[in-house]
Amino acid sequence: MLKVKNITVRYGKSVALDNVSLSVEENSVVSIVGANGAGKSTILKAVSGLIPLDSGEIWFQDQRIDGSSTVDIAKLGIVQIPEGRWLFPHLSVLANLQLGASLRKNKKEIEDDIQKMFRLFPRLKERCNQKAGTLSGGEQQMVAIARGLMARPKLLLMDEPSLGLAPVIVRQLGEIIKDINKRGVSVLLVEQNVPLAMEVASKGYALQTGKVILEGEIEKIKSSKVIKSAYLGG
Amino acid sequence: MGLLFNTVINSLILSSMYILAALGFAFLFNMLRIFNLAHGAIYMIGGYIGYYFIVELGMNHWLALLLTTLLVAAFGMFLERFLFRRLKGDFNLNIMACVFVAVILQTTVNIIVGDKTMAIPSFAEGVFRTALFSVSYERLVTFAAGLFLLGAIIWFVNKTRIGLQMQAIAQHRDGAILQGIDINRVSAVAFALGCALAAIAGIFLGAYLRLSPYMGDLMLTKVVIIFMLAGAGSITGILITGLILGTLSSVLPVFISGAASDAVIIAIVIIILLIRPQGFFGYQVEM
Amino acid sequence: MKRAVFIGMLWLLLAFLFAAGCAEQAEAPEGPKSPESSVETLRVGGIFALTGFWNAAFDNSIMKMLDEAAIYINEHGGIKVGDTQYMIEIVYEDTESNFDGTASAANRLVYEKEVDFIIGPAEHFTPAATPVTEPAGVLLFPGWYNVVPDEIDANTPYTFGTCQGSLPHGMAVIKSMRRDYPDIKKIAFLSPDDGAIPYIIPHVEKVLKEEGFEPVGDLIPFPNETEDFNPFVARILDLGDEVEAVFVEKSPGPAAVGNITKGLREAGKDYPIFCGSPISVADIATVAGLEAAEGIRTPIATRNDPEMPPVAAELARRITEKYGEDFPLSYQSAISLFVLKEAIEAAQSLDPTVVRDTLESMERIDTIYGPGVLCGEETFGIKHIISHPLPVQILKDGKPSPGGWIEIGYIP
Repeated sequence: MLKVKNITVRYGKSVALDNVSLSVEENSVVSIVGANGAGKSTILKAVSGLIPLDSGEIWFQDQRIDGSSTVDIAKLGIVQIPEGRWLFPHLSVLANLQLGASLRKNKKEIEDDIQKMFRLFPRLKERCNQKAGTLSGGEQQMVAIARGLMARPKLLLMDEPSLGLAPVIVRQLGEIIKDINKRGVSVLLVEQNVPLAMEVASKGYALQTGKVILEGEIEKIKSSKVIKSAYLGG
Repeated sequence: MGLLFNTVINSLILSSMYILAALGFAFLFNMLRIFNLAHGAIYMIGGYIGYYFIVELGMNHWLALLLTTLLVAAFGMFLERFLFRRLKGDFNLNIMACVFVAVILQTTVNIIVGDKTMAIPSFAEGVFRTALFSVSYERLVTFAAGLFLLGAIIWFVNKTRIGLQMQAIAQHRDGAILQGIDINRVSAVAFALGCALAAIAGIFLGAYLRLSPYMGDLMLTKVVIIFMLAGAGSITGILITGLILGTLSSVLPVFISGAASDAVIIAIVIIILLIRPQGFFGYQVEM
Repeated sequence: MKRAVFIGMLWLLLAFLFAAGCAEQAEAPEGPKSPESSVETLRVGGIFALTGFWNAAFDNSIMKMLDEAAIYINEHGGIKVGDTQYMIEIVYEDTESNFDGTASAANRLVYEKEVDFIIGPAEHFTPAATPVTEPAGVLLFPGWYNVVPDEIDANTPYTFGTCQGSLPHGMAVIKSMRRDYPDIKKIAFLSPDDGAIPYIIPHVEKVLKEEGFEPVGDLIPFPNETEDFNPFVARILDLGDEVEAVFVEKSPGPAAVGNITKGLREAGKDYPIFCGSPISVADIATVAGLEAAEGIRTPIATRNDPEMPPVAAELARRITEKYGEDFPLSYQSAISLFVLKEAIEAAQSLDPTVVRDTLESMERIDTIYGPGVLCGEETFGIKHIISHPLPVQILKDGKPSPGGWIEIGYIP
């Protein structure tokens, strides 16, 4: 459903992404792994239209989307949960979720979805009137994911969701991502936590200094020497 | 007793009007980082348009209030669409544009009506008398209207979708864009609302006090003080500091002589800002 | 980008069109020329608030009357020195309603426009102008005075109070109050806190005492640009029931006295209120409401006042024709211009020093408000005040009505 074709992105003179191609199929979870500064987040930003491309094309469901505005891309069903979450810290959890549904009109359905989110994340129901900025890191990540899901995305872009979370929560996160995928949402996951990325994905890409160095079925990635030695401890 | 009651009513009226005007100012800054130096001029224009409808056209006060509010709101949207949106958030250009708008409005009014003393006739005639105190209906009506409008605006900002979107943009602009919130549309609403609030305050205070082409300068000072004390980003803060400033402005002159009371208010503000540069309730704002 | 520039240009264009449409220039008519005498132009400086708070408060109406006075004088042959007729052209500079603006306006007039005679400013800004005009030896006729240092005093040999300032205007209403209310004694006493209080108030208090009025409590000062007068109303009410009348020594525009009146009437007080500023009572009624303002009195001329001297009446007729029935009749600087004409013609010279010496040597001088007398050496430290009668206006039955002309007489 998502095809990124030969994109190059520059920040000033430095090249952040160099001729990168990748694809996400319907109903799949795809992980991108790589070290800090490898350009993982840049891919997601480019897909969401937050940064312009120097060259290359991005297609979503047979529609070319590079050059479109972030809002228009969101309207197509591509929703990003950014690194750092970008919550509205002084608004309640409930308001954050409601705002996630900014592009939707049907009030009844939105209300139903909020209840669904509360079933998915019971913690959030307890904290529903608390300001988002006062929650713990894990709870905030839940709000971010729930807010993203409120848009009823077709493709969810997740940028380092495990960052700063306790290991227990990270394991929960893996389950949540699989659960989301079961509901028919494709996920493009950017992660430094390679075990998590390997656990949930069916396909993977490894990035190094803006270039794809490895791609394919997740088993293939897992067994590659580079990944093993760098991330999986042997 | 009458003195006390009237002073209290007076401070509540001033506070509610200051707060209305300051909220309009805060919306634009919090959302768009526009330090709207034209806010006072728009407040003034609201008063004069209201005067035109009520006195020149003989319109009903409330109808005139509604029409003026709509007209000034439309003007706000016009400014957003054709001036501020073009400036793409450049802080310096925005400031210059604000000054430009302020000067145009103020000079226009000064040229057209500068020499003529005007005041909007009272919203209500007569005096309500009890054994303990007497208070004019105008004060009661103004106070009630101020209270109602404050309630309405707080409801709007916290309970309606567009109100929440305004807050979302203020709190995390990129986060809001990612949710698919149409910044331009919400900005237009914020401009309309900000200008409308200024105009409403202009009409009520134009009736309660009087009109002058320079009434906006004084209001702008008050609004900026309230905003800075409250701190960027805080709506609750504006309610509280607006009440404080309104009360100080109406009570201090009773006890402190002459121009000294203004100086005391400014001194209090400076001291507070020295201790808490981000204001009472605000958070550090990324520019 | 180009689009943005285009929109910017459009805005500017709009602004210019607006300014052009609004700028109405009063065109000075050509005076009658007699073949045997030559006609020249005498440029007279005018320092007034063209913008800012004081424009609306006073200066606009003062300038309109000054323009009318210049036209009138020019129509009647201008200022005659020898065989030459000098047609007056007023060159305005803006005080911007503040002290800095006043100083730079004076600088521009003295050093750029090189005028020898200046009329204005009409508020408390004169001390900012005299440091420029005095060393340059330029004659300055302010439109108002508050009896403060560097305004009209021993240090200002080129500055004359050619029209009455706050003290005589205050005297006029105080005297008219005494005439109409022989029994009132106790008054509440308010004044704007514009820096003049320590200088002017002792003089006013002396006049009050002479006329048998006694302030209750202390003077109540209020800031010059106050919007909300309710706190001051509260302070008046706090003085108690002893108060029989309220005297607002000066009012920065109609708003101050108007809002005080409104507040007092709301509180159920119906005592007389009088104000020492030349403000139309109709304007005060606009702020306070007609009913509340009934009976209020100020020292200003009234249309169709049978007692009004002929030249003043003619100017009033012209102002009314041009600007309507409601336009205030603010003669201050028009009086000054006529005094300037008299002085120049008496001196038969355009040298400001000669004109000054001539003016100083005159005991009496006719003004358009009636006979004037040169005085003020004790109060001001210099005999540079021309004292003339002043009219009083009272709001009667909802209409501004003449309240008689008050002889101010010799100010010691």
